[in-house]
Amino acid sequence: MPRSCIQISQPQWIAAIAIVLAMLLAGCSASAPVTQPAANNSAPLLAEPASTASSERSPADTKDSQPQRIHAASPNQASTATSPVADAATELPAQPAGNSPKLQPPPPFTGWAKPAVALFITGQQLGYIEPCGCTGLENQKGGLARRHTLLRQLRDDRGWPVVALDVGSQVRRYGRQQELKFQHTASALRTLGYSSVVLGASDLKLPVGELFSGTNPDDKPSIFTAANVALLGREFQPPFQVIESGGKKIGMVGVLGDSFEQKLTGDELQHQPALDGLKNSCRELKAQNCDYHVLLAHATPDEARSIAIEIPLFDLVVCAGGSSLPSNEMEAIEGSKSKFVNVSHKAMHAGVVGLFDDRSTPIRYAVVPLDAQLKDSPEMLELLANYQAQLKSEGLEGLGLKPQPLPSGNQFVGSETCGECHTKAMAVWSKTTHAHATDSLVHPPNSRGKIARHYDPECLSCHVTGWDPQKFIPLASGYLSLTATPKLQHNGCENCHGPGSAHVAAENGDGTDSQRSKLRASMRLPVAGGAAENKCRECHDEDNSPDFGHKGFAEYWKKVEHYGKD
Amino acid sequence: MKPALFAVVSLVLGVAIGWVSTCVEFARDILPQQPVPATAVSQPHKSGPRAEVVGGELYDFGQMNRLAKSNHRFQIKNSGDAPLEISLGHTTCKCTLGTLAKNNLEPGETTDVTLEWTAKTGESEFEQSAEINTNDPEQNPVRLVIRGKVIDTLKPEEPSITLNDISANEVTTARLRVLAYEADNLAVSSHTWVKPDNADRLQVSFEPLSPEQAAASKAKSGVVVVLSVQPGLHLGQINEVLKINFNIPDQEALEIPLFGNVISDVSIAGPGVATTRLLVNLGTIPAGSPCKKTVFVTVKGPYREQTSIKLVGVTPDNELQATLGSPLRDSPRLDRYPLTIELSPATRPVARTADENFGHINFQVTHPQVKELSIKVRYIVKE
Repeated sequence: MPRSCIQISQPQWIAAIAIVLAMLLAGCSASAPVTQPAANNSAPLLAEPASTASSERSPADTKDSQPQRIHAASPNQASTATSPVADAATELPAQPAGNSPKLQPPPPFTGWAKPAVALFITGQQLGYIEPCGCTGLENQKGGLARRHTLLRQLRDDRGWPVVALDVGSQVRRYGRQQELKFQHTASALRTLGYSSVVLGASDLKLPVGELFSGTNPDDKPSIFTAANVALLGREFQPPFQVIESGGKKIGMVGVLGDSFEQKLTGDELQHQPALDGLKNSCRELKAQNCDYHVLLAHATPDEARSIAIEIPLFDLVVCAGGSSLPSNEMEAIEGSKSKFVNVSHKAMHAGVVGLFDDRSTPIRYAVVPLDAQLKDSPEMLELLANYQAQLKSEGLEGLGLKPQPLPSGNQFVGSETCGECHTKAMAVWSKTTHAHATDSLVHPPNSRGKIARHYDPECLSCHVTGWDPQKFIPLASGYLSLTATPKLQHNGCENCHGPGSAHVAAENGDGTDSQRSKLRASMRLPVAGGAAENKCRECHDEDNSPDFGHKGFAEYWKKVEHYGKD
Repeated sequence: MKPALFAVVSLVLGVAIGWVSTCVEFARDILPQQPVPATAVSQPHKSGPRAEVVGGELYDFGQMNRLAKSNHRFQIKNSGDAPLEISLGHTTCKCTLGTLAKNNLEPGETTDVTLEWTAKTGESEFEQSAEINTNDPEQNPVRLVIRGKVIDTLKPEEPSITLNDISANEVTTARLRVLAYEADNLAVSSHTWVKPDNADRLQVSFEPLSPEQAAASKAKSGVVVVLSVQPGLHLGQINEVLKINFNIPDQEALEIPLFGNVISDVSIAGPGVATTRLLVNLGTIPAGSPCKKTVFVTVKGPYREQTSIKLVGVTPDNELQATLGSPLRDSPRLDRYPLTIELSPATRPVARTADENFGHINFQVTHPQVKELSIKVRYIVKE
């Protein structure tokens, strides 16, 4: 019997199988640690395998995760220096047509090791402190509550040292509500551990006293900074700041671009052109021997790039604005050593710049959408509840919202009165969401349902009858409160057709036939010609109802279609 | 010898099988073949698929009318040496992407995708973007951007007139340009304040914009609205709306909101200060602990130079002390007097948190309209 070249006994086979199995296991397990977390799309956005996260976290890391402020320019170092609701930030999801479900951009931080320090960048919140939920929280991005959760994931779960920065404009309008919103946002930014925040153009339109109580609530150094703008006196806002985190010393300068600085008014503001303010501050900052220099530019992108070329100090220039979908790429500014990032607007995304002790890849950039995968932070929800409570406490009068006179002099009568004659139209309306629009403020039908918003003018303007939906103010004889004007709850007939008092009086016998006919005509809102569509858009706008723009008026009209009297 | 050879063969075989099975299991969905740097700092392109947008990823449409629709066709090319996979990604609110004729491009092959948008914006600068997902390891996603200026028949350069804090005792002037992009000779036919209460103190005049000034803003003509706020408005917020009718047929009246805050020439500001309530908040202090805070009494307006401030009293004087310093004049139009407020460590537990029991600091003022100033001090001393 011929023998094989190598005879293998039974024990040897067993040993061979064991070795092969061992190798198989070795091959698998050797690869496992580099598993990328978001490869599984159903997993939390920034979740990491527990073993990886915990292995990267150490007491030292935890300590590092809270940046240590080692220097803020003192007064004598400072240069002398002679501004929706229901705010909602919405972005449409990927479109299905032509889309391959497997082909997706890599998740944030793909291929990243732990950075020495991560710069967390936001800007131009523009009043969008939370997604309101008008189109569903899952379809809207942004908000302080999600931002807080992302910061926690980076700091606590990943163990990254994080320095949080913001390029300004927390609000975009004017008035008492905006003052309160600014103050609550400023408080939130301190809770979120922000190191440096620029005063934006729209912030600086607020009354300085109220602004100041947001930027400087106590005697501690303010996190608000600008090299060329100060409230009251230079000593209250450092022109630059130096933070040490992750073993790196980071110098940060805030600046207001000239196009915004030139429009500043108010005796309580000290301001000067951007370069004038920066030159002095940067000279002093340079002496601090930082490892990395950041310019926080509340300016147009072109202004920011020009500054980087003019002052060759900055490694990174940060700006906000432009499209609501920020680029996930850093731009090299030609003629300078600076990299440029723009984190877009409405604070729907956070930009994260990772600095690495790796010569081949010393810097990386990722943009993280603040979407529904990030759960709400309880602390920020509490802050939002406090904000709503303060709106309640101020009341419409305290918020400076006096009913605006109506040119016609007519008054709102309420949908019930309309329904007495227009029964078919009433039957249609009462089955629509318009008919319980106020209820959705009193008991919001989402995960933030415990926070009532029926004292918030930015919400009321489209959820009651008799307000100007775009100016967030009550009209004369319009809704005031659940108890004072119960018939004007919800988004009623007169929001589209106008106040009906004269029409009702005429139908009840006042005036001539001619006057009655004219009043009937004046109440009509024709679909043809676009008048009805334009009226709808006053509430169904790009932020609160983006689907209206995409699906079109015709789709929405089907839900509320009604014609005249029975 | 044989066992040794066997062991070596088994080792090699095991490693090979382990490697292959690992790649098969993880390569597609978990292990990237090459880590994808999220940075844009471009690196030399390696072999593989490469997504290129012919003509560039940015399209500047120049200018278009507000609410109008437009579109642009981008051409995507695979300029790499391996098949390129593409699919539609995210878009911003005002954009839609047409379908892709092809999802797979061989090297050198191209396909078109059309980006449509509606200029629904309140701003004049308009930028929107859309993403194409790709398997190009260095460009995923590709970002298509459209940018340009949105114009109206008629457009104010700012959405409102915002006056910030203004003095109740002096004239404040503000200007706002209204631009016409289709009419050659814009003129105002009438104007009115929606609320007439303050109309006599909110004086408005209009100046034509020169053709050169209009052209510089890419408009055909324009008008400057000159607002002159006269002394005498009540302290507090200004919230008015100016309606202007122009000589353009069928043009609706333009509504320009006016915002501002009328403040007294003599006021307070600083850490922990609620300016509108003239309130300083010292916070909660443990009994026996020192508490000291510096805020500022501010003086502005036409009588600034002839105004002096004199501290005349503090209540309760067994708890509070106040010191008024010399004025700082580091701002061209504002004097600020440092006011140091100290709470005596001997203060017994108390809650001075309401109008009836706030502490007070009182001043005499030599301003013609403001003769005195009383500041409220809020504090809680606890055991």
